[in-house]
Amino acid sequence: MLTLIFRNKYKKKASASEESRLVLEAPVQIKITPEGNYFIDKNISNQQVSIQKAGENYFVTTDIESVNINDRDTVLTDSELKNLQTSLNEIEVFQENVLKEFKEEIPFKVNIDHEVKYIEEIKSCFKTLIDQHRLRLKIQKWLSKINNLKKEDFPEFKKAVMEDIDFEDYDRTNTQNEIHIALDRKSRYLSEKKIMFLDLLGIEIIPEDELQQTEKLLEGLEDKNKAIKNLKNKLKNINENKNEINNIETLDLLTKHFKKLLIEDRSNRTLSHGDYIHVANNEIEISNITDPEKSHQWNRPFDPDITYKEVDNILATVKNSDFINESKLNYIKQRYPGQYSKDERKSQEDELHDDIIKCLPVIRNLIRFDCKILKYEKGKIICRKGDFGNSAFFIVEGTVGIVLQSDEEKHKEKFQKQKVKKKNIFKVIAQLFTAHHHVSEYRSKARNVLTTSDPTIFVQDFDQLVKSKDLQFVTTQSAGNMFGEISAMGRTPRTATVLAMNDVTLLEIRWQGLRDLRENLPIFKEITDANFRERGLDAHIREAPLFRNRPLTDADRKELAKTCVFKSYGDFKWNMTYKDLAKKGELNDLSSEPIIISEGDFPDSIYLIRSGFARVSRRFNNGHLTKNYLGKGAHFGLEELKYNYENPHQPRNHKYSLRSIGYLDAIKVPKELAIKYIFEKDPECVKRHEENMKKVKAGLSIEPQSDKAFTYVSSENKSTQGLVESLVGNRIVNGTKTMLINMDRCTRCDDCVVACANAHDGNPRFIRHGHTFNNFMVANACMHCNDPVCMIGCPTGAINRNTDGGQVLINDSTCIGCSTCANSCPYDNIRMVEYMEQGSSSFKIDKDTGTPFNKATKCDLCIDQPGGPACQRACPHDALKRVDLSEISKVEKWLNLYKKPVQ
Amino acid sequence: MNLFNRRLINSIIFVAIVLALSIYYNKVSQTLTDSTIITGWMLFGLMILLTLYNIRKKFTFLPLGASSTWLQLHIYAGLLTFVLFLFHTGFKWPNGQLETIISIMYYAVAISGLIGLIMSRTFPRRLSSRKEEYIFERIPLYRKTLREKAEKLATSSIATTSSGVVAEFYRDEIAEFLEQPRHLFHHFWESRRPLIQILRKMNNVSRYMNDKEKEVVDSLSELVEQKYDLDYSLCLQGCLKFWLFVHIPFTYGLMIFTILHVILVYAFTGGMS
Repeated sequence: MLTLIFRNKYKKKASASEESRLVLEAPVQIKITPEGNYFIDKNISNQQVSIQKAGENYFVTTDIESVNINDRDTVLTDSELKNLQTSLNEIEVFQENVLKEFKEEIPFKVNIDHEVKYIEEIKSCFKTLIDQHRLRLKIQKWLSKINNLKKEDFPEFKKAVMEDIDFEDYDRTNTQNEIHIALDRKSRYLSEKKIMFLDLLGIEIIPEDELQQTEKLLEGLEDKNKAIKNLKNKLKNINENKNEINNIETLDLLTKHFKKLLIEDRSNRTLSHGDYIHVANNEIEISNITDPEKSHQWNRPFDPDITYKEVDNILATVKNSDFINESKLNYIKQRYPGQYSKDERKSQEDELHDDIIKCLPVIRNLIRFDCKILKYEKGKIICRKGDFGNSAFFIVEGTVGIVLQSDEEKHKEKFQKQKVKKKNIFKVIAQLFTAHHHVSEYRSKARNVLTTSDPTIFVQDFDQLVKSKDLQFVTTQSAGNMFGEISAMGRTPRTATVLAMNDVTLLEIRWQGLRDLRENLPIFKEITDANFRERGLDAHIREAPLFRNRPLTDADRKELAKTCVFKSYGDFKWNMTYKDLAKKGELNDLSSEPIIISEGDFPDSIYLIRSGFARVSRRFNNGHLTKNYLGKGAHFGLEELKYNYENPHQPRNHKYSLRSIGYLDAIKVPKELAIKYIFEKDPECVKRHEENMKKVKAGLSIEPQSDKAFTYVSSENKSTQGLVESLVGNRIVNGTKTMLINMDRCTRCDDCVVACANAHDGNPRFIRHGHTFNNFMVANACMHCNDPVCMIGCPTGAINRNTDGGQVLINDSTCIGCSTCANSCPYDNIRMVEYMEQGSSSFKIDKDTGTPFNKATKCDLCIDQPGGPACQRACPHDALKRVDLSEISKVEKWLNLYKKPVQ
Repeated sequence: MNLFNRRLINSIIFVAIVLALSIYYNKVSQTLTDSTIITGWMLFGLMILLTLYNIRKKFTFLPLGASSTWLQLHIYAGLLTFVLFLFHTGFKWPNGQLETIISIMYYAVAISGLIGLIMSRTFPRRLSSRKEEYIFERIPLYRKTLREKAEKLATSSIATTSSGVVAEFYRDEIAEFLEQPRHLFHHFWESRRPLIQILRKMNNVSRYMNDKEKEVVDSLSELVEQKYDLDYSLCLQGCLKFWLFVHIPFTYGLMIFTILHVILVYAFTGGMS
């Protein structure tokens, strides 16, 4: 069943006489009358729209007039389309004025239906009205004579009446019958002279002189219609198909014709079954929706107030920005390397321009639905370092500054975060009474709605701080530039804090829009990829613990950024290969992990881990023993390189192999740079690193903060070695809040499950079941991964990361139950559940298939509960803990909790 | 803090409190003062504290502290009530009807609690030592699946082996075992005797079978072992759940009778003070 959805507030009511037909050729092409101003609403009744399938076609019967758009018309350029829009607007305004004047001049009171707006329609309506009243005048004249009539004269009288009133001309059967009945009665009771008068329908009849006056006005109206036709002629010049225009007689059809052209040109895409078309004020919106429950991400725009006009303004800004022009040139140079003449470059530019134009309709829609316009005043924080970002920002107007890390730490109190709102004590107690224990899933409200960074925080004394150079910026970016894409694309925290330097207008692009833009527009993909590498590299070098002890100058950073190599290993969508390997039972087979450095290789560089995980291992018998695994911020190869630097005549090779677990971003620092910037400037680095490692091993906190990302697996610790090896092999180290249950202490009381259910409307969000490693179970509860691959395919962006804590959450209002996240989760921690709506006592059913709708559900870490995860607090036996496996030393500490201390 | 250290510290504190109470009780006894009022109120206070743990469990989402902390408090406070109860009764069995009922209820609560504690500390380790981990509520389903698998094996063996021996053996010796939970008492004591007996029977009968039939019997013996594990899990998990059905109702009964006891004590001690 295809449902067309009208979204405009003006709905046209159908009438039987206006019924017409619309043909939809399913499944690949939809032909729809480009009627403006009114649309089919989801609430429309069957009388107004009916849809039937006949063979390969859908027949939609509706009140919309049919327009033949089988033949493809000439495609108009953007400027021509704009001119058309302007002209159409002029005509409509003129038309409205003419009708307004006409209504004022009519000599009698009459209600004109607000939907009758075109001159041709007005003329037709009034002609009918005048004819009706003339007929009534005639009838009145004859009736006035009937009471004085003698019986013998009646047949002749009746004949005269019937000749005078040609009933055939008027479809007024009721009136005809009434006259017949009246005449028959008269003939029967004529002798008694009892019949006095027959009042025809009780309608006031307009006098003949007023009708004549109206007729004159209508003639005047025709003259004005000629003026409109002149306007129409203006449009001929911009349309190559002149005959088409000439054949269109009435203005409304002309309007429809142009709107049709607008649709065809603007959409420029093959429509498919379920496409949703919204035509309003010459604006066309197309998205794929058949039912709001099976909605597209565009069903709920990121910013409901954004208009196409604003979209066009933004596009104009982009077009003229220096940054974009420069990017275009770079892109062309990259696409066509080598020397080319000016003309050749020009044609390459034109080609690129054509490519962009082709994508323009999609881009417009992407901006319309996936973007939000944000305004920041001077000194406001746009995003903070460490926050999890779900979106990127395009600067439409103004300048932003990236704050120097050391300055941010210096003025920590000025950059403080707002706390996440938790339920207050009354709301928590109210849960006892509001929980719906009788249903398996209950969705009463939108939860976990994707939010932007907190825009309300000002940096106090901003001007003064900048003036006194207490607050310095790494760099500034102005209109046309973009930032935040590293975090949005890489599912990583923000790498820097960004402030508004003056009043700034930004376009926030949510990550799924960013993804679609990258897919649709190759140049955009190139630009963001280049930014990702360049800025990611720069940000990481700035933050890398190795360089942090000796702050680098701009020149140092530039040299490092130029010479260091940004490398990615493994598949970005590693979850797919993971599932295959898990099925085959080959997860612990290291040959499937991309190798970065092999044991025995000669050290020539240091590897800095930017994101993802790497396994450090060495050969042991016929297998590999995991010595360590490294997370974000860690490095590999420092000790070997330092040893070789100090002992050039007795060099050593790598003792361990380095492999990527899943997907890994790393920065390769060549030996020469390592010597220059680390060993010469900071000779104590290795010693400090070793001390840090010892502290990490002991579970102590170390400085700088980012060094916490070092992970350590003690190969001497035999009791936990196997467990940790399994956790690494099964990539459970990805979890930041993994639910580990010590099965030697768990009494299977399910208090954790009950607590979870109590905190979630009576529906637990995890299953106390899962893989068991040694005596530890990794339960099927969302681990809130470092790299949440479940987010990759979500079509609506319903699954997102909380900006503050990085918890992976599902927005119920935009979840369409497509199961993509559930299928993508490598650990099977997302479930699809049937659900009920508020006030309903049955599951929500898909009318097309008769099956219940689903929504994804998973642990939300009790984000709105005041005490944190209820499961952990509810365990009476200290058997359950949510652990961050990236800090394995702390996990080891917890595991050792159950052991008798060795004396 | 390591759990061993925690237990050590808690035990030291507990012993210290018991010692202090004993000294106090001894002193009061020597002065011929009636200590029952004081020990009674202390006992009643502790009993309220112990009962609150159950209420804490109901309000899981309130930030009332971790359940494990409450349990520690519950265990040591529970042990302390035992000492106080002895002081309160003067190390004698009471002679009044109401007091006898209270004593019975108290011992029921205390003993069930103690058994529950021992089971909570020992059964999980026993459960996790087995190959499979079963969810308690799904055990009937697992059992049904096992039975169906075994039935299928037995019936299909008639066609594959052209003999009804295996099917007959299944009907006579194994079907009943697979149908419902069996030998729960043996499981409680970690006994494998019933399993060994069944396997021995299977071994005996397999002497007279050809290779195809032996194959079926081997598969059946695997299923039998799985069923035995399933019953084991059912028994231990059942015990871990159902001891509370004794402990909690007796607790509420004890509280009601204790309140009645307090009222009666104050109603009839008017002339004593």
